[in-house]
Amino acid sequence: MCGIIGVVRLSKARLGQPLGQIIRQSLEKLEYRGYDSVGLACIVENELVIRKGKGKIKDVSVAQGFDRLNGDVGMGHTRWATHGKPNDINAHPHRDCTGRVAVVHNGIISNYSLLKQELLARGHRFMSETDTEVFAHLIEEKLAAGYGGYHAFKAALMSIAGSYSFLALITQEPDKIFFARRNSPLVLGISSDALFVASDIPAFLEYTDRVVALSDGEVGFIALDGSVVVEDLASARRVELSGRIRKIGWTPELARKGGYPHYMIKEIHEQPRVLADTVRSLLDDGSYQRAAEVMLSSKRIFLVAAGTAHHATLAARDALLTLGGRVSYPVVSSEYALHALGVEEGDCVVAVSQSGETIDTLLALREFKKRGAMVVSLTNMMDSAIARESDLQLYTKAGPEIGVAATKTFVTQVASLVFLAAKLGVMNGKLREDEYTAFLKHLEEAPELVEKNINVSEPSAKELARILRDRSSMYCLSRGLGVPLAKEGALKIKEVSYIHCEAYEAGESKHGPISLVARMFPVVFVASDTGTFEQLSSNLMEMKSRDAYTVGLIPAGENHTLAVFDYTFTLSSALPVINTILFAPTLQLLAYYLALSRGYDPDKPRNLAKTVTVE
Amino acid sequence: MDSFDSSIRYAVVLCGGSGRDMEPLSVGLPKSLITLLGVDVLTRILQGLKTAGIEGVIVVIQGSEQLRRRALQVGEELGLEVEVVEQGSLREVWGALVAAKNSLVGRVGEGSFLLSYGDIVSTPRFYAKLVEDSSAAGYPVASVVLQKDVTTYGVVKLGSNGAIEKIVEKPVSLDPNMGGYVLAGAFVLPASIFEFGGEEDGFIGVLNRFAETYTLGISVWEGVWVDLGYPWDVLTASSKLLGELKQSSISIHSRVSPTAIIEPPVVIEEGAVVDHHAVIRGPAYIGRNVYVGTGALVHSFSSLEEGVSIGAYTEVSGSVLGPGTWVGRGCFVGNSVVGMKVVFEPHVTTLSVLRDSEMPARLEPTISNGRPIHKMGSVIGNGARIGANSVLYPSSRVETNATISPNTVLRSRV
Repeated sequence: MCGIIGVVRLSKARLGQPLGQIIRQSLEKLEYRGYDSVGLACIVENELVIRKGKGKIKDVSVAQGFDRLNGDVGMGHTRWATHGKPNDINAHPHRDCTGRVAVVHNGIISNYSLLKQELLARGHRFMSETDTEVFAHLIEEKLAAGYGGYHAFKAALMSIAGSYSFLALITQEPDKIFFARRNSPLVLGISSDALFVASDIPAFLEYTDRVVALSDGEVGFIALDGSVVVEDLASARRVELSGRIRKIGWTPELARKGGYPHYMIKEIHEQPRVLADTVRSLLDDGSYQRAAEVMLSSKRIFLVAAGTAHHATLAARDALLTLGGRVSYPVVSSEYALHALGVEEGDCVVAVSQSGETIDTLLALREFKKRGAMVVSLTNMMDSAIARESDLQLYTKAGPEIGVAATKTFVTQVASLVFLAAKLGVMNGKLREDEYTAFLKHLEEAPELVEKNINVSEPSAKELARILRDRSSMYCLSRGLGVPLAKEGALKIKEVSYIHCEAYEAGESKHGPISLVARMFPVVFVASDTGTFEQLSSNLMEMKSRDAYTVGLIPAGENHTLAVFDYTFTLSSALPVINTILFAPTLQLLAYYLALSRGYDPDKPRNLAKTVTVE
Repeated sequence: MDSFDSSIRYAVVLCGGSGRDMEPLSVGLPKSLITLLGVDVLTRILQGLKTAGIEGVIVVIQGSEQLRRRALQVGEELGLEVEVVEQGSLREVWGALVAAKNSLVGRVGEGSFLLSYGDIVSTPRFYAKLVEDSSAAGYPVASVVLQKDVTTYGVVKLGSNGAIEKIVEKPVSLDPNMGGYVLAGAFVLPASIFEFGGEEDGFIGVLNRFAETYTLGISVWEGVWVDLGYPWDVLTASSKLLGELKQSSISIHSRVSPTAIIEPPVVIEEGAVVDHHAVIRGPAYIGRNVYVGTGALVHSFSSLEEGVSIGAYTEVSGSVLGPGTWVGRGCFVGNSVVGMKVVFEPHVTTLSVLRDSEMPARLEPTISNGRPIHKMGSVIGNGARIGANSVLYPSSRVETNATISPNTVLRSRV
């Protein structure tokens, strides 16, 4: 959950500011990954200088004078605590007993307590409660045994079990940053001015768009002479990089806030554009045809994802049923062990993850694959771990998503999955050619309608947020094809505004949940499935008769009985499966403005990190 | 414009204009000098500019000697280099900017400057964020805010690159193709903007022409922002500023009875007296030398400006009472904007609950018990006198220096 950045500066002429400042700015781009503490280490005149502390990057960097640190080799870290509570001492980087080794780490060292006991017995002194620190002491031992810096780093790695991406500075070889990756993301950024190694691309996107995604089990270093060395740890064979350098089509401008106060609202507003990009790519991309063929010939279809992506797979399940003529099984990634029991040769699994690094989804995919399932992945990151390990890769074109709350990746995931379902429907005869053409037309119009719905909803969402800001609990209900969006809306509201929001199928009210409803209890109805309006209308009445405060998302132009809400969003609509995309921004906006009106920062929800890379 | 210099040291503040829509409050007082929580609008703007690192300000006025003096005085207090320029017969925003052209170009050359309307109420970070966003973007930007009722503003349409595609002034309703972001009256612009319009042009037209050729970005402001266009905007501005109060401050030179009940956050300035059994529910502002009588109730979101006096058992709720206003005993003043030196004789009642359809433009509903209610009391001009036992219907308007006889039932609409 942590963020890592290492920088080796090759040209002072073009990157003139102090290295500490470059690292601090990169850390700010990674802050979304986790942010209870922060620190950096630089090599200054062949000595290690470490500065770190608990708190936000801005505060710690001012207190510790990050911007004044200079040098040509340095690394930084934002921490999201797993072992040891967030405080100044547990902040990374960690060092050995001699002060010659500094390490930063993302992941979990599973055998750390055993290693720590052994190291303590051999006389090492530990400063922190972290699992990471054992690695610094292990390197120290190898150095003492006569290994050179790089060999000590590799030898120490051999003792480590668990998941990691590591960076290390060793004063014996002060011109290098050593790195290693296993089950935690790490990418190299390459330019003639500087070399970078980081957890995620936005960290160095301002300086270079040439990127190499490292694979699990790779280890190596970047050095002041401009060399980039990557080896396979197990075989110690040198890895050829030339074919793996990719040019990322993002500009630094895209990764900035563009005048908006938060990434979340900027990304909500980007949805029409990224949706258009995604829809365009769907039509050109032969992979969807192949993915549909895989699904057609598979015995069963499993849909594996977590969080927002899970809600996208719920929409996919409904689309597979209504358009694709197939029953599928959505599985929450972390529950894979149970569901994997039923997976057999001939099954197919669709794994969905924005980052492509979600550890639970990755582990599920591996298990399903081992049992003989074909794996299709849908991610937003080229060459991510999940993409690399799947048989067939599909991509959303959402661009970098920095806000912790997923917004634009949800609508692009739903668009891609619904399209896949329609493709399958055509193949197995569920969808006639004219129905498919009509569907495509709706999908192509979706970006424009999403823009309209954002424009229409935003001022109202802000107003409604003022009305609901003091509520502590609410419901978000729907029926039929609207249910996945109700769940996603409730998740958004929970994660950024900290209002408890529960979603369920509206017909369930009288089986229990309605007992909570009293005067002014807010109930949001997602009326995106026209086929269910009659029943939804009676669910609305049962809420109104208990004096709930009812909010409705309803399609424009429908002359139905639903227009009796206390607060109404009248939205442009299309086919019910596509309405999930069209109506989503309204709930995202409501969540965003609820967070603001309650005084919270929607980009940094407490206890959450953007990419969940630990189990 | 070949390159954009984003280091901003100079600003132009436009304080001309007739303020006709602000009547009766603007009769005899330019709207930039209306006080909110003890600070006039112009001073608040200059403080904000100072926070944003501005060194020199050109204030454009239209004949008001009062404004000229105030601008120079505040400039001196804040250590800002202030020059006052007369707008003369040049019209509207663009005319005002043209009036400042010579002074401005003399200072910034081909560089950039900050432009602000002189009737905007916000918190100090407003201008600082604008300057930061412009410097991060590397191109000119306009500050924008989200509004539900866009009909009285310039609405911006954003292009797919996130920059302004065009601006439409005062649309009849919210356009789904445009959305709710409106110009917030503050910009970072290059001096070359003058090449985009002649003296007779409208400012929006000039901006549109500029945006066609160059990038004009946005700086979205989420904090307090009110454009003082209509009298009830004073109410909105005052309540938003009060909403920002995080703690109380009570001057040691005030006198608060030990039996008074003070619910934070409140500001009580020096010389104020809060008498026995009075209740002040925060957020509320009690200005310098204000008197709050025995048993009086000052409800939340009320602001009593300097020298106001409210008599025993009077209730003031969600209202702004201008400097020197005197309210007799037993009155109820709710959701009202009261100018300077108004006199309420005893037992005057203002009514305030409106039908939804009667809401004036851009007035936000108040939230009562979790539901929005449309409330609007009276707008009372400077120097008016309201006779004893009168009842003022919701959204009544009393002209400057008018006298209302005792026992009147007033139904005049704003």
